[in-house]
Amino acid sequence: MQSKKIMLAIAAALLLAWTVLTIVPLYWMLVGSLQDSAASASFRPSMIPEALSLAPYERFFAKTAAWRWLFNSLLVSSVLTVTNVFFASLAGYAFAKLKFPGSNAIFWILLSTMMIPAQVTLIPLYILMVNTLQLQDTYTAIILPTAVSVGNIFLMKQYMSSLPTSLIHAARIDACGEFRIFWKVILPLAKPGLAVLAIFTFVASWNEFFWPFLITSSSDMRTIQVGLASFVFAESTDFGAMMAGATIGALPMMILFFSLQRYFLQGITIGAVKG
Amino acid sequence: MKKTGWLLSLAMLVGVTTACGGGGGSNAAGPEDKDTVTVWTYPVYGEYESELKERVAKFQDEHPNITVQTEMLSWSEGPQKFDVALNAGNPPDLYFHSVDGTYVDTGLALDLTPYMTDDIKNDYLPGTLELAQIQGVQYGLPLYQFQWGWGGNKRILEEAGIDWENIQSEGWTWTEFKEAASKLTGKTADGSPQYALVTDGSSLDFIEMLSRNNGMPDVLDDAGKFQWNDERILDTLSFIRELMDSGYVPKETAALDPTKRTDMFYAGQAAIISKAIPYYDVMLAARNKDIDAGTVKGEKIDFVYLPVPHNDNAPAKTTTGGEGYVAFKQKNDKGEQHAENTFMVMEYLSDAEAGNASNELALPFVRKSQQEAFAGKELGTETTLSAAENMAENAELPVTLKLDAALAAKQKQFKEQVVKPNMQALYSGEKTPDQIAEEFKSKGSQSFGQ
Repeated sequence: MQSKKIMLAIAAALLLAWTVLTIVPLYWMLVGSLQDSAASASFRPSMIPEALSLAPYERFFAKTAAWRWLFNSLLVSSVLTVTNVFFASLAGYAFAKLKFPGSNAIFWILLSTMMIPAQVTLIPLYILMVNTLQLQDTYTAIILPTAVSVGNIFLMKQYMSSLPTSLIHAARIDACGEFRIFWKVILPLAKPGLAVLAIFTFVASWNEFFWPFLITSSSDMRTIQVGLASFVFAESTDFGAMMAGATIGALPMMILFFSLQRYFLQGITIGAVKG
Repeated sequence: MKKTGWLLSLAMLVGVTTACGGGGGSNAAGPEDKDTVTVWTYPVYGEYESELKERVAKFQDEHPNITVQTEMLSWSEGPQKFDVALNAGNPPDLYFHSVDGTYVDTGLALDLTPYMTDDIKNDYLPGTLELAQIQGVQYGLPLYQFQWGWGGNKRILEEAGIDWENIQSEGWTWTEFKEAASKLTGKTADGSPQYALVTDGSSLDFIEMLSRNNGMPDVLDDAGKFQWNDERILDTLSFIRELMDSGYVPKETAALDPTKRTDMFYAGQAAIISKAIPYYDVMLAARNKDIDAGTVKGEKIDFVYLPVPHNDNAPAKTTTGGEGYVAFKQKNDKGEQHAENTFMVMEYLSDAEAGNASNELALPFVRKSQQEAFAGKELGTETTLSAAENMAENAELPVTLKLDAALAAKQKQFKEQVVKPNMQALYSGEKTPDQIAEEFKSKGSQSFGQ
């Protein structure tokens, strides 16, 4: 009994230390956004600010196209969430429940593309988007390459494999067409999986930096992450405004996380389900 | 009939694909035809972005058929973006950088020789146009001559009894620096550690400057001979390790980026920073004014521009070079008129008025017209300008100006793939100077065949 208590205390202490380590950068970001630039940029930031100021937020919104960047991030992330949920669930359903010639081969080919590092495909993708399709600096160029990801197809295939096939047979006996079966039978059953997919896609798209940075050239097309990078200059950085921007940029993710916590937890185990 | 239809379809398909494949834009375009010139640049100095916008608007008023699309890149991620665009065969028409052999190696750097009129050539001060040439071919127009030194905090130097004026005029050796460093290392008034020297761990400036001051112009010399394969590079690496072991340089150096290095200098935690340019003089003067006005908090700092110390048995060298706009064509060449328009924009962005870049950065002008335009308006203190002049006497120009383009590309690859990770390993203590010197030797032998 005594040793159990000790173990619990050690576990609690470790978790507390881990929590502090996780929270400190976020706290620093927050107090940095509420302090004067020079103070927040010092090597050892003062964790208890002497004076709080909203000036960095004013500078962030006054000197940049911040509202536009936030709108762009929201638009891109929302569209990518919808396209990924739609296409990945369709493909996942097909691979999990439909028998068609070459389904396994296609699935493995798709999976093998996940093994290719993104750096390898970056230049060909850039050539396709910019040189061939002339889509630079457009929403289409930001969205198209990740409109559906193989990782998401894999996730949905795994999830849908766990759904009962007998329901699909029953629907077929009732003369239900394939798309109707998907829409009326499968999708309602797959809601938890879809929710996880939607949340993870939204978060990943919101935080994506390099591709939007590469493909956009005007300030009006930047997403919030790309816009924030414009604060970093070689010899001087407006850290206060940058931290204000980072706080604004992180806020939707925090709200999303706290309001949909249980789906995030489900996401950890979803790939492990085997049908 | 059916066969004819097939043949017609095939001919149309060939026509369409040939047209799409490019290979030649509208070569017949005239000087009045509409054209767009793209410019990728950086915030060269504080007000450069707003000044550039005004200048571009003025240019477009004068040349309504030419649209100039500018993009302000960030110093940290911009080079990566440019590399992808260049490798994809679609670089911007103008890019702000020093001329680089790897650009020429792609075949996309634009040879400016046909556009360089005598008026333009004669306006450049002696030795400056060469800063944007590779093996005598002009690929860019320099906007300023850069000069890398170290930057000191006057208060800390004087409190430690360092005769900085003598260092500015006579230079200093590694042994003299170590003596000074022991006096400059300690604690700040608030108890934070104060380091004699702070550099960033992410770039190669530090090892490049120190090795240059130990008899090695670069990884290769301008004849292409491999330099970093003997005792000189081992001595340089050992010197850096010694500075870290003595606590003169922070043990966190591997994790420090250029911004953090500057922040430590502002916070009085760095007596000297590497690298510094005379622009710090202007920047710190502006910061001191802001502190007086109460808009910025912190200690006012007076800047001391210092030469990089040299090994006791090697001559002092100051790293110099030129930066400005470099012109490119694309794989799908847009034709001669576009190249002419590109040069017109380039010349406009490098003209007398553009001399404000040199002026703001407190660097030597590159054109006579710029000297005249800014006569009597020079920024930077006399002390710093005179120190810069002294340091210019030991100027070491980039070897890439003379190096064969393919070798320059190999040198760049060696630095990125071998030197960078090894310097991180040195700063973090994962590898000893001997291990790194040995790796430079073996990998260099593979890369350069020497």
